[in-house]
Amino acid sequence: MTFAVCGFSILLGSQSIYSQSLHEKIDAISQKPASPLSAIDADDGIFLRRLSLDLRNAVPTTEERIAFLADADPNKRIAWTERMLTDPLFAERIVTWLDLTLMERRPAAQVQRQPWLDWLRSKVDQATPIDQLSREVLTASWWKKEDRTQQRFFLDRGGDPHLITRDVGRIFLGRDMQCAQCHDHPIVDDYRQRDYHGLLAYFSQSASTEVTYKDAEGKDVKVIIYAEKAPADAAFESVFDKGKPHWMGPALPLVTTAWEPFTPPAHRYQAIASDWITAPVLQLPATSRRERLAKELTDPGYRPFAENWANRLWAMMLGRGIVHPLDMHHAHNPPVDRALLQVLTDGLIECKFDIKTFIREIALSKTYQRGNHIPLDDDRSILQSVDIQPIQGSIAAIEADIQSLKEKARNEKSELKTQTDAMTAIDAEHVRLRGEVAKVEAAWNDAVKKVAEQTAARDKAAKPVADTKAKQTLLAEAAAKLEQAKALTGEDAELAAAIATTVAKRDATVAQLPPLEASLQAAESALQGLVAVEKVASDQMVAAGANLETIKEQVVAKSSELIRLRDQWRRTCNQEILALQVLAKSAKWVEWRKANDTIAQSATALAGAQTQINTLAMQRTEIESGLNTLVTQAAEKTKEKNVSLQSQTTENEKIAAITGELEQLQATQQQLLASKSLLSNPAAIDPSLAELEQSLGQRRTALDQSKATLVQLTTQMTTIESQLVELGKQQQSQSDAMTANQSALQAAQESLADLQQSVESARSTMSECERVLHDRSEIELQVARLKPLSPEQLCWSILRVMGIFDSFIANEMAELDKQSPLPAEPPATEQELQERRKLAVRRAVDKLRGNADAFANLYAGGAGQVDNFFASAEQALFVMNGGSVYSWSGPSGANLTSRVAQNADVEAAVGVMYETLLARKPSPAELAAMVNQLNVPAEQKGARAQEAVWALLSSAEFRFAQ
Amino acid sequence: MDAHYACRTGEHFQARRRFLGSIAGGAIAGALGSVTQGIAAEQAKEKDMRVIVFNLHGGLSQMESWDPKPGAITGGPCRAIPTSVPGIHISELLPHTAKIMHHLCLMRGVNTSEDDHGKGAYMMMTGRRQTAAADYPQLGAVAAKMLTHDEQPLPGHILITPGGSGSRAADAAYLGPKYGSVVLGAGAPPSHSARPDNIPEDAEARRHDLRRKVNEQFLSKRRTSVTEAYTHSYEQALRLMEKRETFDVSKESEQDQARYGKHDFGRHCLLARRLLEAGVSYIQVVHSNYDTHNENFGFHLEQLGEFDQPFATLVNDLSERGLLDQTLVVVLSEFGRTPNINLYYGRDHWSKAWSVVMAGGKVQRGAAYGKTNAQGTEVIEGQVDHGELFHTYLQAVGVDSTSSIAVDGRDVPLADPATSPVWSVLT
Repeated sequence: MTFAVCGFSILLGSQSIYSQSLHEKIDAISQKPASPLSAIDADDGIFLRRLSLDLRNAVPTTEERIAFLADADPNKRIAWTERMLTDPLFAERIVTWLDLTLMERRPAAQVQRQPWLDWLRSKVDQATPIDQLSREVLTASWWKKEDRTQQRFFLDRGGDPHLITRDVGRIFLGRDMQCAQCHDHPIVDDYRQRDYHGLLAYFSQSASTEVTYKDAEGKDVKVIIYAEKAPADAAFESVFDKGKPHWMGPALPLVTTAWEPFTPPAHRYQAIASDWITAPVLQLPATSRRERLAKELTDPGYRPFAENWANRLWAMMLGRGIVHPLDMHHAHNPPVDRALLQVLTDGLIECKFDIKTFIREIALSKTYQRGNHIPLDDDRSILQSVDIQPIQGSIAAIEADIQSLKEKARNEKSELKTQTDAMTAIDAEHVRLRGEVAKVEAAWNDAVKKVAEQTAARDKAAKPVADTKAKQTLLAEAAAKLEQAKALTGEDAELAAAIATTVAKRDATVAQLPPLEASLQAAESALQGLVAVEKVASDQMVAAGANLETIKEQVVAKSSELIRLRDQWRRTCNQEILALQVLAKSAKWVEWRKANDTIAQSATALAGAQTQINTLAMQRTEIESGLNTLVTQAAEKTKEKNVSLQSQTTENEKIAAITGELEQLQATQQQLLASKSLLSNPAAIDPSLAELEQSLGQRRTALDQSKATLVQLTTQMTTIESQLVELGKQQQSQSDAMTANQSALQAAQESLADLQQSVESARSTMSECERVLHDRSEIELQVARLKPLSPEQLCWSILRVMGIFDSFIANEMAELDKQSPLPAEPPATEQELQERRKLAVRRAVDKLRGNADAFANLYAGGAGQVDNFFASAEQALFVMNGGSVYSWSGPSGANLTSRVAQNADVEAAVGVMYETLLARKPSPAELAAMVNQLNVPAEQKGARAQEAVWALLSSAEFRFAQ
Repeated sequence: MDAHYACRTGEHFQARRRFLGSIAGGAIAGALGSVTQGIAAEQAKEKDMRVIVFNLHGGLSQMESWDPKPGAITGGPCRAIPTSVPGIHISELLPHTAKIMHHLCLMRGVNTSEDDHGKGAYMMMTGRRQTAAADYPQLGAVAAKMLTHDEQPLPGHILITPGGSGSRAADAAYLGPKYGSVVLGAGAPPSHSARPDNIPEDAEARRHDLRRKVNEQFLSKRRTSVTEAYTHSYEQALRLMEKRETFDVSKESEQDQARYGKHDFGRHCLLARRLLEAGVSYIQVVHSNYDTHNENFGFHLEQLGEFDQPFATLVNDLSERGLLDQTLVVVLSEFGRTPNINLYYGRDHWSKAWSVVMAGGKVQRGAAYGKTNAQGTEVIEGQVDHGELFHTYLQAVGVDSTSSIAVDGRDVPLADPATSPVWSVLT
């Protein structure tokens, strides 16, 4: 199939046979040599969800998903893109986008929302290109009733010239110059007060005015319109640099435009009557500044306009502008890819600003179809494979580059300053000349007023002269008639008297005339004098007006120079910022690698420390067992010592006993020997003495034995004691070894902990670097952006996926078929059927819009604010307890929840739920949890499925498009 | 045209560096107002500072309150009474407040030059004049952003009104709906803060467990500040539901309820105390209506009769509980009332010379700043306007009002950079 694809015109003529289509050009630029942080293409499920959200504001239905996944056509992405572009919801999506872009959720005060949306719908239906639409919005006329709806852009901004200047700058030019109203922008160097007043000049003569018109019943109705007067401008000065007036005619940023030639007041308005306003009478200016703006802004040669819309449409699809924020195109916020912005801008111009064509091209690009995950495996081998050497090596060069760019920018800025001062001098002369014009115009106005006054005075003086003359003539005629009557009637005293009176009166009148004529004469000559003065003033005014032309050349030349210099300086600043970004990215790579190296190096050290700890622990065990042996030995020795001591004691006791016995025996022996001489038979005691002697001998031997034993024991004791001392020494040395081992172990453990900590911090550095690099990859379009659904997308997606939206559409279809059935014969054409469906979709959208508004109230910024992502507890409470989301999640008809509840195959049911809501299969853990949730008796299934569906709708994954 | 701006120094450059830094670093935080926090905010949060504003709708008469002119031709029938601070007298309509004057700082030289209700209210709440071209966040939104801890389950910006409900995102302008006011109409708890009857407790537990499980799987692949903010908002909502009792003033002792008075305003003040104690950053209590074009004196007798005791009780309680040092108290209106008494014994709109009262935080205690002339028709000393007051409120809770914060990649100053705080009333 062939589509009217922009640049995709191979079939159309030989001229373009070699031309690439826009999506190929996009890919040629942004599909650079793959960075390790590039994602592969999105899978079909993610792609369809993304495409449907971007082109239809809602996720696809289960049926669509199944059909798409089953489609075997290798070109199915192209076919389905086309299918969605022709879906009536695509038009609704563009209407919503245009409404939000142009009106930024401002309340509909002067123009109702529905007619405004219907007007946008008609524009989308007519495929009005965005430049044409911009012109229609900006030139919407107040004097034609039919244009009133499209005046909403101005009317619902209260007709305030500053708000309109700000928003035209933001919305049509991508430049928020509001802070440059009273002085040059304090933060954005690139936005000058001149730029602001150049843009303001297009609107300074337009304002809200109350007028009256007659309604259908002929009743007077009052209404506010945004009317325009003839061009006029005032000088301005910076509040920080008072006394230096400047003057700007209408001019767009980045280009010089010359002001209109001086127009005398008489030619400033044209005589066209409004077709509806009855009072007051408002004149239409001969030249309209707004029409001029529309023409200059949308001139194909003026890039910022096309750049702005290319960037805005890109952001609508990709979630982020190539210049971001979208209204901050300036020197210090360069496009993330200048070549890409250029190609897109050219593409938009080439396809004549057609929204659908341009969006199709974006959708077909591989860049749009990127996956949402970087293939980061757990060991990060992809990142480790990056050759860091050249990156590291380039850092010094980039830094030097930045220094020289800074220097260059400084010099250019200083030249710019010099020329700006020169411009200020020219401005002073210009303002003086403008003052002259104003002065002579005031003098002329004065002269005109005086001429008018004198004309009245002259007319007043002429009246008595004319009256007197008429009286004279009548009296003369009366006298003549009376004479005739007298002649006919003969002498008649009464007639004669009448004639005399008439003649006398005529004569008196004749006498009155000269002074009256004299004063008329005086008035007339005074008038002539004033007319001459007016002529002079008029000539002077024209001359002064022409005199302005003398400075025009200077102003134009100097402002062209300023523009050229600023362009140069802007380029340098752009380069500097881009270099800073490259530097920051390189630094992150290096930081990542350093942390990675730290971890790698630490691995050896960690192992070493661990080995050391193990060795020391082993040593410790050895020392401990040695010590134990020693302790056992010492105990044994001590026991031996005690035994020996016991033996000594025993021997000593023995000796003492023997010694006692010996002494007794010896005493007995002495007594026997002494008594022998006294005995008669001394020999009789000899046996006793001998026995005694024997006993003594025995005792002496025993004593000697014991003494010898004692000596032996003493020697033994000495040995034991010296052995014990030896053992003590050994013990001491072992416990010293133990202490040393302990402190070594502690040191080793501490150094292990240190190492572990440094690894930990290196890990968190790495993950931080990865996060930054990942974010940067998103910005550089290497990976699909995680973009939050808009409040509208969130609401319509829930309504769609729960079958509510489609049932409303079906109802509207039925209603339409009932109201005006399509004729059976001839059968309705495909086009008629499509038109009917479109109508039904629109009626359903209008009926359900209140829900989207409720979401917008909670999820979007206020009126006039850019839609940023915000998460608040109030939003969560609304989803949790607000009623609507939970009740939408409930089983109803054949909706998702019912089907999940009724499916006997619980695993399959869970699969459908995940694929429909999240465009993926459940993980095993999720599957288990969900099966557990749904494995309940039949009567509880509905409620359980509702909880599960609600959980998925309220998950972060549903909240974001990937 | 390359002018030397007053506002082109210090903060602006710093702000710009941050801006460039965030581009250069590609940090996603730079692109998100809701998760961006300045250093200043962190400091203020550490100190746990709070703000309570009493907004006396319609325009309180300074003559019958903070700046009486007894005996003057414009003075009206009310007398002035001495206060706990020797030398400072206020209207006899505020006898309880007179006893706590040692906590208060009267700003008697307010000149805002705006006699329209809507415009005056806008100026007093945002510190800027309303222009079509820009919308600014209210004090409550700025305070909520700068003072509320991420872990605080209760909303940071609360509005207690005689009626109504819901939340007002517009109050936060570019700071985003997260900082918009949550309205406690007639003191009722926030919308949707109770679990609906059709969701039993076990179902509630199950659905949230499943939600967390799904998030876990998703976040294991890609975790960013936005995904964090989103999942966090649900946990915060659940904690708010747990804390729903905080909004139930009947949990306060019978004695305290009696001290504050059982009328609406008394209950609202007691509710405000509960919320301050629970750590809510900003509460605005609305008391209506002071727009007394007719019978000014009778109405003020009645209205201030209701205001006086609960207000004084609250300030005293805060002081006794050691909270006053970390709580800024403000009493304001959209403007004051004419010194001239009209034919209907009323006073009309008057913004050239009126009063605002502050207490607590870093504000001087027991002070009267600024002076009007004998008839109260003009400020003769210490003149301040809405912009200076706005700066002063922020400084009083430790927020550097001259700093900027980044919102979606652009820097926005917290308060009007063309004006500055009234340093002499700050400690």
